[in-house]
Amino acid sequence: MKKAAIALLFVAALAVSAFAADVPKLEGPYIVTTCGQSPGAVMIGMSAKQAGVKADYNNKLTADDVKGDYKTLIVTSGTSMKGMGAAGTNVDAEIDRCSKAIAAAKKAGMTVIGAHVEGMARRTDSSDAASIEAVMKDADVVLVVIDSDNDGFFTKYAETHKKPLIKIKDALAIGQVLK
Amino acid sequence: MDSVTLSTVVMVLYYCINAFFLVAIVAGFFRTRNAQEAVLYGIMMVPFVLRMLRLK
Amino acid sequence: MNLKFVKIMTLLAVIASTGVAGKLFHEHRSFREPVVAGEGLSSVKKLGDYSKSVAGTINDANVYIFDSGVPGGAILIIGGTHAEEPAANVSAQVFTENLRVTQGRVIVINRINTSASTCTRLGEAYPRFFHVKTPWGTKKWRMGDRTANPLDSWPDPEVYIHYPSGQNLAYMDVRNLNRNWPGRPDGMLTERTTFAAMELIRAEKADLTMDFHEAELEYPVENTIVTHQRGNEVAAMTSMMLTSQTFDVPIGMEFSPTALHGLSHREIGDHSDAVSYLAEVAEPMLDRIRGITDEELLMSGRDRFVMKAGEHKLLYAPIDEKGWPADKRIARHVTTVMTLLQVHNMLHPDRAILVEGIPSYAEMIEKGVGAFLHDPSAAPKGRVFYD
Ligand SMILES: [Zn+2]
Repeated sequence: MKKAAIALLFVAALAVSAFAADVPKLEGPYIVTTCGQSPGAVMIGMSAKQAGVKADYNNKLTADDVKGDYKTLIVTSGTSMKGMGAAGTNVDAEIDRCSKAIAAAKKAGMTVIGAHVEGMARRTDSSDAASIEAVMKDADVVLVVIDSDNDGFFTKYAETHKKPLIKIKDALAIGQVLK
Repeated sequence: MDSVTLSTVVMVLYYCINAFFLVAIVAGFFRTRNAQEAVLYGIMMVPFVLRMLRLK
Repeated sequence: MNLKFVKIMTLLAVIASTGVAGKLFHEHRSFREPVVAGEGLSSVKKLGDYSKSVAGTINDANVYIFDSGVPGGAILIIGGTHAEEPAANVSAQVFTENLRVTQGRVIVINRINTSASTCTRLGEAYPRFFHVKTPWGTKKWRMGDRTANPLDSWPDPEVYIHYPSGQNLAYMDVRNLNRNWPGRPDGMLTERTTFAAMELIRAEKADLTMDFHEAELEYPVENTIVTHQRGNEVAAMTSMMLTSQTFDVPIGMEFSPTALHGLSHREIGDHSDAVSYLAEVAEPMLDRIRGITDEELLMSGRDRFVMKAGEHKLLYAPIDEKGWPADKRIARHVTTVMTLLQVHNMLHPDRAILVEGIPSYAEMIEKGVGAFLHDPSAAPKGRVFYD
């Protein structure tokens, strides 16, 4: 029993340290966009603003917009039918736009964060799943809120794809981790 | 004629039709020699009366 | 059997059933809901004061105005858009009955589509009334339908063509208030109602509007704030703060589609300077798969069929044996407005709106909403109004 507890502690300690070592230092200024026209990017923008971090958001960011002194690109995943309707786009066009923006950011030496910050409400259908897969596969870091990982999906994803995972309490707390 | 006036005309006509059917049903009720038909007429009357009185 | 006897008995049965049904329908249609306006009330106008097109009609709703006298912004709170969503109009009434405004103005309409609250949906066996327990007794409201009463607006067109966009909608949506914004002065009743409300928004120079709703858990736009694009930042901050600090079930945010017409979150923002918001909360009674449709379900939000659907992951909102009680639905709406105002004041200090007297989320959950509704028989004269 005692042995097991010590082993568990050891594993836990290992997990934390591995986690800490893997996460590259996040550095602004940030540019944020959404893959699926959900308000995630606006939320990150507002949360960053409140924390005094420089983060611009552009829901229609293209590869050409990825320039200037930005150090990190954040792409939020999960889709909104209303949002895509408002913007006159669809999930395939969104994935195409974001993949190109991510490629441009990588070429410019920027860090790419794949984010999911709106909870299980943005993990309901196949569009959500497609957007998540498209964003996360090219991301250097995975950033999610606890409610998005209710079922452990992102924990497992980060483990299998060996990507560092940052898990935060909620969207309001994002600004603090970007500091 | 605009759509609102048109609706008003249709509504008046509708109540006329409703009244016509109500009268026909009531007449049928008194004329029939068949007990089952009389009950049937009675049941049919209810919604027409409620509509005529603008209760439903 | 004697024919004459059968006929007389039938006639008596017809008179009795018509009488009972007629009395029930009449009672529902003519019941007046008392409202005890809060201390801070400055005046009560009518929608018809802003546009003659609704004056004297059943939809000539009360407009409760709370003016602090101190320069600032103005918000219009809209309840009763869909009268089958009772948390919406009770939430508005929590403001009407408790408000004190110390800067700017708050304007409340408890029942914007009164006509819709005078009938229930055909064939759905809705309860006619719903009740809330209060420390002084029971308060009663009319349960209504999604659309205006056909007795007030009839006939419906074959296809409802929205004005001014020309968008085609289903025939009954001509009576659906949230498909009729921004309305027109010479249209059908519901179009005239939204037109009068638009005139109010423009005349009172409202900075923001909030339209309360409830939705079935099978519907994807749930527990969320839908916002006009000019309100993106305020709505995002509001939703994050509420999710982080107050609500157990998160509240999201949605952008208002630009091409979908007739909805308050789209048209109010497009046809006035006000930024329009709409809030949704889960109401299990609206789900098609619900069980017995009675007042118990309406108020407790507990239904085992809806729960079963939740177990199979078929819903867009969580539900457990605690359900979605009316107190919680109303507390969410009220607190959403309070947080929205807080964020609005932060971002637009020159147009700030400061209010007092509104219970907190925790207070409403703990004591129930009834604790914040007042006894009309004990109220000072001149403060009781009827919706
Ligand atoms: Zn509604």
